[in-house]
Amino acid sequence: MTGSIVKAYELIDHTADMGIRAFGKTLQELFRNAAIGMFEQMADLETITSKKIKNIVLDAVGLEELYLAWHQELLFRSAVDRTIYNEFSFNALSEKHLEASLRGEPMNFEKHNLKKEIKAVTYHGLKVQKKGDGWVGEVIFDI
Amino acid sequence: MKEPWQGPLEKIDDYRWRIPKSYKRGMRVDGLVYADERLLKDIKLDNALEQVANVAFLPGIQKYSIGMPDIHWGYGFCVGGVCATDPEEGGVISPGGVGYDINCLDSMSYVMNHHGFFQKIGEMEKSWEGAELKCQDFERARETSATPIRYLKLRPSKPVYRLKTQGGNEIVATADHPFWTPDGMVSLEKLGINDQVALYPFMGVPYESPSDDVIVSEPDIRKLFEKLGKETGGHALTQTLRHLHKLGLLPLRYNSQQVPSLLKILGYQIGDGTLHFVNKTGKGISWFYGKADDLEQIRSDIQRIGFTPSRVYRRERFHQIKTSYDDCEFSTEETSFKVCGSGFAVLLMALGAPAGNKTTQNYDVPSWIFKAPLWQQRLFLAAFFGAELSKPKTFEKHNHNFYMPMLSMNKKGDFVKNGRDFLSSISYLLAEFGVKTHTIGIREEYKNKKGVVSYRLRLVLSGETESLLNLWGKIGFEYNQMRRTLANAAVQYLKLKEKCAGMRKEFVVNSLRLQQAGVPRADIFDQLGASVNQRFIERSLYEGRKTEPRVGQDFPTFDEYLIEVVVGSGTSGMIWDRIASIKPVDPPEYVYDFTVDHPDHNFIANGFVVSNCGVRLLRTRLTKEEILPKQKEIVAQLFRDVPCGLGRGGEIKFSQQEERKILVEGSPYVVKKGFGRPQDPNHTEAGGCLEGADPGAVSDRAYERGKGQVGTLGSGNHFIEVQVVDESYDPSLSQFFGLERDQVTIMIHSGSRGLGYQVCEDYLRQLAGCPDKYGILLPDRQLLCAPVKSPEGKAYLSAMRAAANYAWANRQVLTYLVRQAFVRVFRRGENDLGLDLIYDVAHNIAKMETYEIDGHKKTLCVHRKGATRAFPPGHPELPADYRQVGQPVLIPGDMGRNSYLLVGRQGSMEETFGSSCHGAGRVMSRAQAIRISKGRLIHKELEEKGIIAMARGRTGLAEEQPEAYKDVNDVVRVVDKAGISKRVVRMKPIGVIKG
Repeated sequence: MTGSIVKAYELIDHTADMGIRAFGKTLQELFRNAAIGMFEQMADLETITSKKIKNIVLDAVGLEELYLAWHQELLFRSAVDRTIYNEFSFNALSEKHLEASLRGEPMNFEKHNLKKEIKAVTYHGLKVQKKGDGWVGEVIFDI
Repeated sequence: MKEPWQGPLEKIDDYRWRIPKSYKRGMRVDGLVYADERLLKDIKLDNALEQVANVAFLPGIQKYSIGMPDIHWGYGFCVGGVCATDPEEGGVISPGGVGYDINCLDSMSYVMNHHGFFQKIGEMEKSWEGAELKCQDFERARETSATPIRYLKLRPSKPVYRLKTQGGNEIVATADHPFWTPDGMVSLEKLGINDQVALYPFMGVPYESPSDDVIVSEPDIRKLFEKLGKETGGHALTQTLRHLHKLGLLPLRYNSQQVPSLLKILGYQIGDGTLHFVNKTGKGISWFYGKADDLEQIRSDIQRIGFTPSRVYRRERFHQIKTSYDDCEFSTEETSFKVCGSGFAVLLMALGAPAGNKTTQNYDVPSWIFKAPLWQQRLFLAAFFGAELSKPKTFEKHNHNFYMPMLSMNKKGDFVKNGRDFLSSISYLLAEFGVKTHTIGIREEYKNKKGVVSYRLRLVLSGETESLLNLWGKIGFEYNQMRRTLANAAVQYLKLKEKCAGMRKEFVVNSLRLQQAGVPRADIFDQLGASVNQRFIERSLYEGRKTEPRVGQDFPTFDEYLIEVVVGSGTSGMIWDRIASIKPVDPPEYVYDFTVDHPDHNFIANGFVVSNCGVRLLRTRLTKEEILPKQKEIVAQLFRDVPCGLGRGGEIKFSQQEERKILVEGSPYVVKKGFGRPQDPNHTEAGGCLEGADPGAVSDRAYERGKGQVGTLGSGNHFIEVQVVDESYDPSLSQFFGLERDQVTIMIHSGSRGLGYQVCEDYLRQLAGCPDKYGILLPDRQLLCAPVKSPEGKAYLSAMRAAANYAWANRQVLTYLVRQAFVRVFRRGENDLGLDLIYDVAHNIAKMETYEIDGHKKTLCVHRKGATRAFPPGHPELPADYRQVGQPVLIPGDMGRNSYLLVGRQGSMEETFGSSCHGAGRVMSRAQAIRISKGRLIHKELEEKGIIAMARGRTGLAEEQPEAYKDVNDVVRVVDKAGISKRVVRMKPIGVIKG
């Protein structure tokens, strides 16, 4: 995604916490940019050497729920595997179903310049919308 | 600059503000906010006050929704919010006429049919099979219909009672007859005066067998085809006739089983439907417009008759209209469906539906309807009203009185006379139900380009109570669930209002009688009770009333009443009423029954995001003078020894089995394992362990995520601070806690870590459907909740208790690590250094606690979302050594300013459910904090203030910089001045570690 002229994501201001507004021409790009946005709050992604691979499959009742579940699953995996993920590829992605491969590296304080822990993804302000010829997704994190 | 909050805030005194419950329809109690003018300015900048108001919607909430001076915006709940809900609130309920559960009733009990007529249960012995009864789907909190599978006629084996509700409904039933109450089904013998029961106030009309006169026959259809110009000899007519015959619709008689549905469809169609033929003679198409839910009911009736409706379409419509004030543009979502096919269209036309533009043709209420029995006329009117009649609504200013219902229609040019005739026919039908109407108003609306004038005709219905009761109680609404529920509530409201006014009228008569008998005024007041005020008596006795007495100002407004009584999410049609009396009656010869099912009910709220964090304070025997030479060393040691920040697991490992024990046993368990002193749990809120924690309610994912995190600090606003006492407010209390100026203390702020976050995430998902399921009306979907007594509520409480226990154990292990670090740096024995635990309080928790409300002891579910328990001296839950002085309340500030030790005061028991504030409260977003710190070195700035700060995360210090928070000194001054807690000492940080 580097070198892309289009903005991948931006931060949403929130008194107590923080949110991410991600953009994408396609749903895959949206989900990928959102994941990158989230992990960039946790570490400098340039420092990550992708080694570890994890496959995940998610189902949800709708697109927004899938978007939420995607973030929740990434946070959960990251916490449990103590890994920062930086590459995301999709084998399938529809409004209710997702199959993705994550690549990343186990957290290393010296190497990765770790930043902050994200406690949870909230339901507040959850949004996925088609705008023009692309997609915009918003989530707020509990920090 | 953000727009400050604009809602109403009434000043009570310098530190208390009220958000009146009149602010938003649905608030059950006032909001009470503790703040001074200065804090209020900041508080108004985010949405926290709106959230205080939203919390006031929660069912069972007591006294007020409380905001502490450190409130800021949270998810659903504001952070810094306190509220208490009563699981028992609402007591029992009523069923009166609710048709869903009719076990063991007197033979005279009326059973409400799905089609809006009633029959006596005793007379249904031969006709019950196939009867379609109104019933309630509790799961979905909406009305539906059901066919009885069993009819029982029994000799009563139990005592029989007559139950009357305050609204005047009554029913005779056996002692074991169950009634739907806020606690689920409760048998009559367990109900008492003032308990709530569910009613279905709609009365309907009595059943009357319809005749077998023909309404539509084959020649009628043939004639219609001719009139339409359709070719009569060919295929279309034959096909249509064959279809209608096949569906059993030709001939159609008053007693045909399809007539009730057809009457409703026809009524709605004349209101909000259109009908036309493609190219005038082609296929017939009928459209129906309305709310999606209501349209589904019409679709289902159309399917019942044998036709196939389309699905419900949604489309956004843009409108541009010119009014005399302005040009407006707006968009609405329109939902509609259609039925394609000439059979259906022709049948409707034969029944009297107009085809084409309704404003430019003559049509009247179909004449055959006048010959139908009353209950059939009702179906037509109620469905027509579902489309066209204004909803029950009270005046804005005088909220006790209803607007006169209104029926409007548009007609063009010469057709206005026909419009008048149509409305007159409706008037005529209404008269049979005892509904009075006023004259028909006609107003010129606009002229089109061809000069044709459009008129708006309005039939105004009487606003007299009796007429309204007949309109809403006997006719009501079909195909409009919202209006039907409003009508049901309005019926019950009018009855209560009449009763109340009647009592006051009686009072006037009695007071005059007593006055004439020479009884002094004060005694009159005593004798007649306090249901009226002094002014009322004076008017009655001395001024000669010109008008009938009306209900007093304290009688609830209709809007308030609605919130109290509507059962479910607003479409069930059920209303809560209270029992006025239950009296035994002589048992009748027989009692009767059908069957029913029942879930349970009642409310607890807990829609908040928890990580159960809290604070603990340790006292050392060190002084500022002793620690300053080792200031950097001790901070570095703590930073090394205490795992903090992202991705750092604990050094101390617990097996999975041990982790489960931690969830059940809390901090005493880890103390037992050697991570503390035996007296530590005694100085921990709830002894560091909440009973009723269920490790089984915690998901595998939560275990997995929390694994290895006991004894880790986390990140965000969690920290360990080394502090020195810099101000004492009460010498004797300071002395009691062994704290004097310059003495060193340590504060630990952390929570239940990954396990807690996951528990929260899991339950937010699980509770997502609960507000709908339990019919809880909420202004914000973040404010999720479930009844305390519901399975979901219970499971959440058990899991949350487990997470709270985990949090206490976590802070206990952190305490152990801190003590070790101090021993290492100072090379002195632990006891020699002091390092005693003063106290540990949770500030993100829901707990069952007992309070006195209006003279009654109640066990309430107290929610402290970013608020600290603050029990006053003498509270039985305090450890013996603190009972004299009150519970220590620990308030961490931001890392550049101060922290506080306070003690709880009596005011907290009286006003805030034993709660106080919890910290400073953010005023700035993290992103903004990072932006304003660009180019600055926060740790250098802190060092200049004499504070050594170390943080793992690169942005942690910037995000948590002092400027991002309110001044904790202001916050604490408010709770002190308001009398809910009392300042003891203030501390200033000299060392901070953060994640």
